[in-house]
Amino acid sequence: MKILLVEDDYIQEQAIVTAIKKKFPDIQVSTICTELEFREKIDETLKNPPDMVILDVMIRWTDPGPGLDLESIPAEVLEGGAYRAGLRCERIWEDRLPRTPIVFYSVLEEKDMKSEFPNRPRVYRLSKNSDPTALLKKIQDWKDKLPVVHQNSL
Amino acid sequence: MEHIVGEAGAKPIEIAELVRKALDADKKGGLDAMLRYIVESFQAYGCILWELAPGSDLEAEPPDGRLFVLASHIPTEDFCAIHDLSVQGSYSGRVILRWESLIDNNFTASELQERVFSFLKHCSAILSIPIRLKDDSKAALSLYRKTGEEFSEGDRLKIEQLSEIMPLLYQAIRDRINSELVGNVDKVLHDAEVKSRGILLTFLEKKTVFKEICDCVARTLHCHEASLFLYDCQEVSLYMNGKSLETVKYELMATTLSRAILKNVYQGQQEDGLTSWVLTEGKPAWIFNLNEFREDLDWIGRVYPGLRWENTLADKPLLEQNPITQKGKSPRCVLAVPISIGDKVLGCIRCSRAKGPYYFSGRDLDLLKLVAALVAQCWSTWLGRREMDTENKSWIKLVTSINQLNDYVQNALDAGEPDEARIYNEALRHLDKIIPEADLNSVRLVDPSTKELYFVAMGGKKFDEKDRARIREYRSMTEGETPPSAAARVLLTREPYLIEDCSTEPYHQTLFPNAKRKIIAPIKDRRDVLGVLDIRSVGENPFPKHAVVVADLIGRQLGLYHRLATTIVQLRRDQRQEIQTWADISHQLKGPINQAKRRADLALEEKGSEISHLNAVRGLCRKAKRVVNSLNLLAELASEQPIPLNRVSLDYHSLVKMLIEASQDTELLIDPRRNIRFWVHSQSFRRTQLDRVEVDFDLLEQAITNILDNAGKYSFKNTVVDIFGGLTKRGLFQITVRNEGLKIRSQELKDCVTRLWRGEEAKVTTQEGSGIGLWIVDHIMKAHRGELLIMPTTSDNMTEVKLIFPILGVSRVP
Repeated sequence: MKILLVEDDYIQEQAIVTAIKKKFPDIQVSTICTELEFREKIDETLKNPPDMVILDVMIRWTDPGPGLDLESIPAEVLEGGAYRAGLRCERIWEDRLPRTPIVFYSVLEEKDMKSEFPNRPRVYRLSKNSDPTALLKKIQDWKDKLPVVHQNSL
Repeated sequence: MEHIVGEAGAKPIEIAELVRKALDADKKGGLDAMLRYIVESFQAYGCILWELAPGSDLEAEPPDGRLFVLASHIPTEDFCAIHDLSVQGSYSGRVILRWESLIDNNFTASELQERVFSFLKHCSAILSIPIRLKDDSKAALSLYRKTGEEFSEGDRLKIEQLSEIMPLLYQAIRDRINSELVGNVDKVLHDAEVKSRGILLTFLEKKTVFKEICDCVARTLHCHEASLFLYDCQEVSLYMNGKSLETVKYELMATTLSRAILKNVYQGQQEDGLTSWVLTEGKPAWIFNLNEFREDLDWIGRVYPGLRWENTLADKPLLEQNPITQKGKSPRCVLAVPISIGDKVLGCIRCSRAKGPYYFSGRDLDLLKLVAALVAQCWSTWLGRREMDTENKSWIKLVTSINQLNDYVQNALDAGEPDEARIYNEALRHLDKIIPEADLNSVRLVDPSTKELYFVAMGGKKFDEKDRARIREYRSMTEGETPPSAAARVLLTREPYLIEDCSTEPYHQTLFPNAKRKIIAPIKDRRDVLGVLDIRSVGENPFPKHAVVVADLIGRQLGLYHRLATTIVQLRRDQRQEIQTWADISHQLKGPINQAKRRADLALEEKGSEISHLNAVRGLCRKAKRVVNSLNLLAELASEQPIPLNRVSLDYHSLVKMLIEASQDTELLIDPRRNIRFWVHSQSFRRTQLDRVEVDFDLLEQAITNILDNAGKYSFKNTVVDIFGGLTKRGLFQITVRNEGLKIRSQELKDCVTRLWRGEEAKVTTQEGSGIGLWIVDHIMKAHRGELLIMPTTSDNMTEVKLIFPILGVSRVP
């Protein structure tokens, strides 16, 4: 099983990856830490798509760098900033590969996102706190649903 | 090669052969081998090396002193009964007194005594020479021959020549023994350290380590007994199975004796006996002949004032049962050395000999002191580590509890108008998890109208619910009482207060008569002390050292909750900014607290990486604290109240220390892949020659962390944030933070210190930031009558943020 984690806080990223790896040593976790990186890598990612995407909601567009050009940034990003970046990423993913389960894993409550939260199947929201149990359970549930690949079927 | 040729019948002696035999002998038998070789070379019957005991007075009239057997080679079993000789009435003693060699081939005709002859009945000839050992102690080497085998002048000449090399050889043998023992002990401790991998050893594992050390010591010093007593309050209480801590101080950690020692626990200060004396005085005790303890009381009293031995040996039945006296023999010579760090006695190592040669030499004492020093260092480290471990666990519990409290408060705030009494009760519920000694706990608030303290919440494992109604009615004065109560004192000083003995405090008995000690910590926000957190203990154990700091933190946390509740109410008035501001603040607050909890859990789970996790916990807690403080200031400024200053005189070192800590914590929270480093140029502060600056420390720290946080967020990859001190052209003291990253455009300079302003680039390069950081820094500097300056430098992408302090706030080094 493969998981794509989109998380821009490296401390949180470390904690999540560690928790997943500890519980599921066989799961591959790849990480993306900015919205721009997510958009740039989506084509490449879809060639070998993950079985699940875990998305933070508040994600920065990019790291500070000398070549930052505001004019090249989409208007919705300039307007919304980092606050709803995860929702934007989810929409992009949904357009490309709608069957992938997406877990919004954020400290923001549902009420904080109000009506913006996507009402679609296979889109879940989990509260990010110090205990990763709920996330791990969600992964386990989905892992159990994946078809078992037998050696002789390859 | 030097040869000493003997008289007829004697073997030629080669000094080199003597050296070889002595040094090639097994590790402990070098001295014996040397004497055996001398006996064989001289065809003597036996040989004894006598040493003059320390404290002997050869100048007295008559001379006072005794000789003890340092080493011997005599093939007679009975000889072990010989222990000492009088210096004035023996051949060997006279040799030392006159410092010249002596031959007597007819003992029976001499007026001198040498008790050796009473055991060596077939001997009547003696040749004895004085020897000065390398540590300047005096000794005599005496050779004995059978009747009819006389010593000649040639023998005297040979042995005198030998005497020149013997001290050197003896010293070499001792050095080897010393290094061997110290090396062995060091290896045992090192192996234990490697095995423990920085984690605590179990009590039994420690006992095994110390047993090995006792075995090493016993082997090297030929001891009948080697025992180690150590101060180990916490584990002794477990080991003693319920014995009161107050009666237990030093526990037998290990011994070479196969049977149990009768006395295996020492109180140190309240008992008689040699071991107690060493533990109490922190000095070594060295008794040459316990059999003559009473006869020697004069000099023992002079050298070891107060030392008594008769408690354990005067009672004959006890003497016979004493396991030290295994096989019916009592120890004749005892050496006990304290195990100390500074003036703190951690324990004692004791050796005794019940078989000959009985005498411990001064070299043995020095060697035992070396062993004691190694043990002291190791034990001190282990005790310190355990203390740190206990403290770390307590901090982790604190973080966990505060996290749970935060969740509780969060829910309470979400529910609408928060009920603060319920929050305080919830806090008390967590308290005894963090401080196990907290038995009776309460929160008392100040009634603003009467200035009285009243109980708003109470609990604890020793709290009797029947008292609740009575206590709820109780109100105490905060002003006008002499002496002031502890709570009143805390309200005045705003600092926590520990009372070790409640009986010294006149106001405690009314409500909690069983309390023996208490901690009163202020519940405060930046402006006021709202009340006190009152923690009392009824048990015998003192509060742990960190309990006061923990109580202070919880008190502050309760103050923050109060302020947070007030703040949230204020913030909700502004509907337009509510969603984004609250989401951001919530994000900034929850993120680090959640992560701190997770890191704290990982610190417990992952042995070996506790330090990095705990460092992260510290950084995350500091971040959470910064967010909450910002919130407090935001509330104060939003209500158009001036920021109250609590000025302190901050010296140069404290300022630099704070900057370094803030830098480290900020750096810790930045993605290491961005490789942003913080560099405090401490020399630049020294060069300003400024001694101290009058500032509000908390506010300055808040301002600095806000600026460093910005620098961390907006710096480019692989850059360094420089922090340095200096003087402006007008001579004002300034702190500058310079970074290479996103710049504030010149047209934005004026706006960037306004509330909720965020630069366009900032909005897309950071996910968090409520736009209040610089606004707060600006207000903090204005409150100090100082200035915040933000200036892009001439170099591309460099920004300097300067905190400028007024000249009045700075004092120069005279």
